[in-house]
Amino acid sequence: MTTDEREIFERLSSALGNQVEVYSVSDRESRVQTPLQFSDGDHLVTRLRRLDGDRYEWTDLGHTFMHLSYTLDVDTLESGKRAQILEEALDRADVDEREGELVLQADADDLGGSLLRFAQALIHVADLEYLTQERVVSTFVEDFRRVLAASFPGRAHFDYIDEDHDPRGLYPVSCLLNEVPRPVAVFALPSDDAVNVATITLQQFRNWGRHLFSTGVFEEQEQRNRKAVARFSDVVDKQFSFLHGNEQEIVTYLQGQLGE
Amino acid sequence: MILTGTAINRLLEEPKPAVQVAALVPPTREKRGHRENQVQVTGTQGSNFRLVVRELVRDPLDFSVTLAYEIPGSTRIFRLRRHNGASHSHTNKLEGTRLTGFHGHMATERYQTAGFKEEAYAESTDAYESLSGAIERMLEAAGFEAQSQGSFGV
Repeated sequence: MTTDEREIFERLSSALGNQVEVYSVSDRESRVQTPLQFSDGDHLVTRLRRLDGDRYEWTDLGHTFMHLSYTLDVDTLESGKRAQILEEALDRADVDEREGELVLQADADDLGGSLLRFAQALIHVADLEYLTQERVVSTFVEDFRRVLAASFPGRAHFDYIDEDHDPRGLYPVSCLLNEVPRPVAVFALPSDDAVNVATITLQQFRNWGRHLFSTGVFEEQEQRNRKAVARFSDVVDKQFSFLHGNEQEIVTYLQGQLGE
Repeated sequence: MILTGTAINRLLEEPKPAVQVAALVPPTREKRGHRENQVQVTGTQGSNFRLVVRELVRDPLDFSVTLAYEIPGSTRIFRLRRHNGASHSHTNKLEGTRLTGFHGHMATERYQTAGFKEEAYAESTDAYESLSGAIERMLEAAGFEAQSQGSFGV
């Protein structure tokens, strides 16, 4: 450790309780590792750059915006609410931005305190990721039908109704596969209502003496009412807790039930 | 939405077409302190993926190579793997283990279930020491056609 490094280390350690490590990367710049992390466990990038005399500056070299880009298009920070929040976060901590690099001026006698202020500003910037709006387009039913139609051509009967017992169409099955000899009823379950209707439909088919092998495919089971899921579990043979990313597993299972 | 370990592995193993490596390295799109390039590919099972390469302007050791799955019907992307450079440490929050140097993030069901980001678990690696090496390692590990591998030096 050089004299400069030792001096910096001692100043920072006294402020941060010996939880920093300092490595020289050039005559004027040191990499300062701290325990401070982003939400995914990656540690902040904090470097100390000597300017002249007792003047220093902290820099992240641009890492914070790159880290933010994993979850957010940083172009969306140029205007609107995100831009306003970003500007306020930087202003509060007196942090400047130089083409993506975040920088805080620091005096030699305040290295520890300025590091904490700088780190807090970096974490505030990183928190902009929580403003990501995942615009979920409800294509679940459309995708459900597409997967089954492609996998079981000519045998997937959507919105199936037992016309003999149910002329008014009160008990629909999202998709009935292989009407004979062993029908498989597959229910698309994007909502609590859909779960409740599927439960009643399966009970009604039993009352009619129609024996179906039944499968339920949830858009996202975790989001559904627990009691509705519990009632459905009592009447269904097999459930898949989600569709997206699980398509092949579902198709393989249904093929097995159809004896393919 | 939580993807199970089985679903994650299946997405990683799903055969993917060769990519034009020259379109990724060096990254060219200016992005507020870093440069980025990305390609989108469709696997043989119809899943859509993005391979995103980023490199910091001021530190070539600060880079990332991310393979993400585009969740159908959503604008959300699910990060299956991310190969990082050596600019920063990483701590696995569940284990409390701290890594230094090059490290690879990987999606796990365990971390999702515990409420963390899908790729919050990482392991140290000596499989690459540069951005192009990190891309090559990703192509090998994630089912890309061999034609897209070895097209550049590590």
